[in-house]
Amino acid sequence: MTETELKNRLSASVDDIEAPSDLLDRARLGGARRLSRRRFLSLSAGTLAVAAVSGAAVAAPPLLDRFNDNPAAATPVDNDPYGFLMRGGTRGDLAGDSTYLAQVLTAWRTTHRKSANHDRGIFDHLRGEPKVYWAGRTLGGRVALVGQYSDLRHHDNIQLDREGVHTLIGFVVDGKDGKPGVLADSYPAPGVGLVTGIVASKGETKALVVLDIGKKTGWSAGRTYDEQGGSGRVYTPLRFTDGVAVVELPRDIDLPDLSISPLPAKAFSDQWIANGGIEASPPEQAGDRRLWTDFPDRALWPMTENAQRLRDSAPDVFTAALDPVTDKNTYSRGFSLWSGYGVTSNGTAVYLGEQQLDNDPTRVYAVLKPKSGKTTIVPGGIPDRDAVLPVSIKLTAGQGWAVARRNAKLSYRYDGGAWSPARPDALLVPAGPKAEVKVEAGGKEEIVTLR
Amino acid sequence: MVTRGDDFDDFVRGSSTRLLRTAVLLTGDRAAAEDLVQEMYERVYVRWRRIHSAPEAYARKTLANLAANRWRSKGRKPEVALADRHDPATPDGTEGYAVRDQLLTALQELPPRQRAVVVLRYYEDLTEAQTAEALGCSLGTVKSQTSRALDRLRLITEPAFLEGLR
Repeated sequence: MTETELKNRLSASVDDIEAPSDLLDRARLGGARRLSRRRFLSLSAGTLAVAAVSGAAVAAPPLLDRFNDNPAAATPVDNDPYGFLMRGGTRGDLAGDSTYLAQVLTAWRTTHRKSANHDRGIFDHLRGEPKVYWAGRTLGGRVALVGQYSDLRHHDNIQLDREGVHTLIGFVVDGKDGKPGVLADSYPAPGVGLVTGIVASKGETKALVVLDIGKKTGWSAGRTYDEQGGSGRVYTPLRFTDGVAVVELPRDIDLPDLSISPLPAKAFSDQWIANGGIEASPPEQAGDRRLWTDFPDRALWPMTENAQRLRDSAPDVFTAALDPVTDKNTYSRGFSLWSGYGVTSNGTAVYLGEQQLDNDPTRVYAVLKPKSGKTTIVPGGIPDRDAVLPVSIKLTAGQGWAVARRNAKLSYRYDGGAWSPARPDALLVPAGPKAEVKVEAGGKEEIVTLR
Repeated sequence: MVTRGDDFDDFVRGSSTRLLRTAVLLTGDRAAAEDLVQEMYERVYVRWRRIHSAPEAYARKTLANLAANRWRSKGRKPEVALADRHDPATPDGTEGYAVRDQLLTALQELPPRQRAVVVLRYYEDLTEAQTAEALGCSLGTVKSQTSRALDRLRLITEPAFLEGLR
């Protein structure tokens, strides 16, 4: 067969496949979401500078007479997502603090050039006057939410449902100098959720402020992993008062893990926190944290004798078992590039592998598939890649341990007895008293006691 | 000017069927291939300003590496029921179906890198140098992986299937 004939056969294998008609829409939506995740990086990183600039400009004359009036000379489009910001008077316990409100508006007016959105042209055609929608004290310091109409036009780096007057939103928090500064701003874009939350910090204390957009909404401190191998988020309902909900956050919270979502939560939230999860770098930028990658060949590691029948399906069985219990609100999922497979003494098939969700640390799992009955997942937690034996999972029902280390020879013994024949990369150790594993790698021999 | 406007749309419309077919060959699975292609286009979308003069090479490289490294999102697609067109082809009992099915199955028996080499070299018609660039490996690796891949394909498929091909 010639190269041409192979090409023809390859072509014939797929010549009846056509791209789905909605692929372009999905690509645009997903791409816009990725851009959205990046939008606030530069601005939030420059918060201190912003705060300093705004602090220097607080001598502007009081503008209280404008605070509670709707601006003129602007007709927003229908269904303007942030349009409600421009209706009614200023809310919050600082609504009557004219000095603070003046500082907020000055900060808003004087820092557009520092915004990541400046190059997208969202400030090129501002209309009317900005308005403070809400201003209040939180445990994380003072917070203000600002709205202003802008006639948005298609621009080098902006996609719109349609051109026209939309409401921009600005999130203003106190800087380290105690002066208000714009932490982030946003505009409505097609296929991108609304930025409705902000985290304000004072020292170690953090407060989450979320806009009431008329939907039941919850907040989550991060993804959790359970003892059945599952992962997901638990959302606590927010209570809105006067247009916002304010929540004191745990001191040790990791902001990129923080999330808000309409309730009941679905696969993807359409609400974002300006300096929360939206800041998390996509995994492809943050780096691959999986335990073992860069295999020249498919890495299929038998852990016992007589397991050949499991070999080809091992990766798929492992992934299929994790699929239904894995957090649906996962942006990117890193699959295991290696698979251990073996059979216990009672005939249960055991599959070993890892999985990384977003930027979380990778986690290892054993999947147990008995001859009959329910498949179970035994989570092995976050592996220590520097450990002598990075993967060691105690299986349920007294079925022993599944262990693995790439490029090592592994053998086991009980109670100081004779070592089993060595096996490369992965090993299933039947249950037994005082079980130990000998790890031979890099010219060294080390013994690990299994627990 | 809208950077990700007509020209991005034109690129997707013009390349999506071909790249989806490439992805099916790389993964052997229609749903996974759609996931990969969507992920690839999203990355193209984000980098459009930098790559719009020659997006093909970036798209192909991204697709090959996503397939080889198995990074993909399972949940980015809108939650809509899959239409009939998403289903795999149904055996029609013809010799043509048998040949197609056999080759797709055989490809999936190859390690991801070897599979990618075969698909890029013999389906996408890339040169060895272009394949090396797409996969981020050396020319020597492409040569050796190609040789090993064809050997394994030869074992998997009928003996005469790849006879004489190097």
